[in-house]
Amino acid sequence: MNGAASSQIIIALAGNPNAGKTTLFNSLTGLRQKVANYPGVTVERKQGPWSVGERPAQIIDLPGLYSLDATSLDEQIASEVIQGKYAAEQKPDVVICVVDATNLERNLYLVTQIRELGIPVVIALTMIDVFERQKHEIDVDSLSRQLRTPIVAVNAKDGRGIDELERIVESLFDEKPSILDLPMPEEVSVGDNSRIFARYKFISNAVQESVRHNDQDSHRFSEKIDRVLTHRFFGLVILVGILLLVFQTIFSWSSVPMDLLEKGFGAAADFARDQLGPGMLTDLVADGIIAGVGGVVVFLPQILLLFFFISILEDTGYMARAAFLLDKLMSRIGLHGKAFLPLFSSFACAIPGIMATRTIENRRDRFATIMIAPFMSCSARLPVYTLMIAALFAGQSFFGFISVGAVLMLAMYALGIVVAIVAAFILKRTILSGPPPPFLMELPPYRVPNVRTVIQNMITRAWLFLKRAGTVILAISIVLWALMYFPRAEVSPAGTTAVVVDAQANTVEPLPESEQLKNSFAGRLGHLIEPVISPLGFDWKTGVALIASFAAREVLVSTLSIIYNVGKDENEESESLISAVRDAKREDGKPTWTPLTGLTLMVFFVLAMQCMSTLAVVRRETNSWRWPLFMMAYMTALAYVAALITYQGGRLLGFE
Amino acid sequence: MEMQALIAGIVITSAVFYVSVIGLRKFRSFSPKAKCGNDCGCNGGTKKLTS
Repeated sequence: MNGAASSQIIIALAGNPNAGKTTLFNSLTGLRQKVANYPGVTVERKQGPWSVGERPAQIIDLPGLYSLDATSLDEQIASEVIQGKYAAEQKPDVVICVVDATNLERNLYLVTQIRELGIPVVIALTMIDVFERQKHEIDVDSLSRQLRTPIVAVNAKDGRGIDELERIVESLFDEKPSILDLPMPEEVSVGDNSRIFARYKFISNAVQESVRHNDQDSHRFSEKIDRVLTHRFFGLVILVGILLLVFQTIFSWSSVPMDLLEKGFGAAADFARDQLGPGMLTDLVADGIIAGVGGVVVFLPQILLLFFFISILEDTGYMARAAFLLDKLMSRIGLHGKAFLPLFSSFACAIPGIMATRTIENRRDRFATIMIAPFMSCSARLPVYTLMIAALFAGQSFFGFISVGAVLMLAMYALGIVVAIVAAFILKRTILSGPPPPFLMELPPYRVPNVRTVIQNMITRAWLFLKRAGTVILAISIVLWALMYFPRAEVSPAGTTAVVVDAQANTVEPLPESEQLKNSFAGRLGHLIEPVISPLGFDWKTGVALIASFAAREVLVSTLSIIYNVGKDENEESESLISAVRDAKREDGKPTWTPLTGLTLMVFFVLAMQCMSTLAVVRRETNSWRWPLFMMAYMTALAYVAALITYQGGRLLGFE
Repeated sequence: MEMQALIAGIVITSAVFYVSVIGLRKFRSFSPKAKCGNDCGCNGGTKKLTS
């Protein structure tokens, strides 16, 4: 066995998509990779340590695949690793085949293929609890005999079967691997499926010998629920209703912790001022660091709640039904059905979404999906939407119970989806034209959400958010503060238009902070681009924030927070960013922000490509400069035009 | 130079350095590399997508 000879024992986790590989991987290694109740979550190779008896080993969590005859890129990588054909990877010493008990026959197909290679295999049977709840009975020993392969029923959540799995894996190190020699037909021609039928016949016999079904009633019940949830009209109504409820709950539940965080950061800024005394460092800490980072961190409760609901919807299996609903629409516009998962992942962040497009076999379909993924409203846009809604639409409702904020939030998410569909429709009929491939979608069983998975997803997202706030946002906030603070107006006895001098008393009155800001580097840049953005209803301060947000979207919030703190004159008393936005005035005394300008900004943010990291990953995934540049150009142009139509159209309708 | 201005200068310089490093890393990730990672989605030798 190669593992015995080399220092590293390699154990591969292989299996169909959504069979529970990553859950088992996390349980065995103690790591925390993302888990969800839909296929295709793992598209990258992940590795972690596991001690088998006394022997240290490495487990590789491979992307899901249905057979070794791979079609998509991620399946190809997984298949090559298992067969030892992947140049950068050692052939696995043992393969743990993760098999979903609720889809036994389809899952076992891959097992028979791997067994034919003569690699030591142990089957980890997952979802056994769901299988038993569905009133099926399985004789694990009988199935193991039929397949001539050891089987362990495991439950990664409560640790059931993990010790036995370890014991069997250890025993496989020392055994001579056997080859599953199925009676295969002789030489086959291209396109001949007789080998596939032979394998399925073998599997079917084994399953019939070992499994008994008593599930007619529950199966019918699940089908009845699916008939409603995937109904072309009622399904969409339910989807919209659920999303409205989610956004409304996010707003109402997050208001108290957000207020507390805002007060906390306000107190921290006051404390810094008291302790440090007046000076440049004090201004930097209070107006730059605390205002910049705090302005973003106050949205943490909303991020946590959003991922709480997303995790629950994923884990129950509802998201797969929503995917099924939208899949019909996507196939009509020529987009691959597999595009749903990458697009859905992009609601958290476009980067994993774009990487998840590797599950799409066809290059043109894959690129079309990459090009529209950033239209999905990612979590970085959430602080921008929330700030505008909280400042300009708070307390308003339709029919007295549906909050305007929730409807607007839903509208922003819907706008992203609609524009993505239109963009895909155009791309698939122009530069990326090609026939839509057939797609068979699997609906996972309904499950009670796993509390651990939900909390883990929330912690992961919160950590990513805070890490970003504490590193990139912090550094950008400091740099932006400096750009808004310098140059300080020179004191000149002769006086200039920018300096106020009390010549008689021979003292120098400092310029008001609002004037200092106007003369700063950032202020000059903002004024430079003002003619371009004024047709959108934005002033130069918003222009500065817009430029900064091209590094990362949430930087808009920190920039506004800094800009309204740095430029705050002594008589201004806006305590929080929300009230600062409400109180902000243009040079002519009119309010900077109105519901119309707020809406325009939100529309701009739905459509604009303001994320350097996304562009970097598009460059990597498409292996070309052309695509990220095209993405940047067409999304920014689209955002500008849509924002222009929103603002000017709103004015024509009589809004200010 | 007063102490506050000195410390503020150090903090700002560090932030500029950090942002530059991050920016440089991003720029490098845009640039073609001699060899790609195991899972980058392209064939490192030919720089052509395998799918």
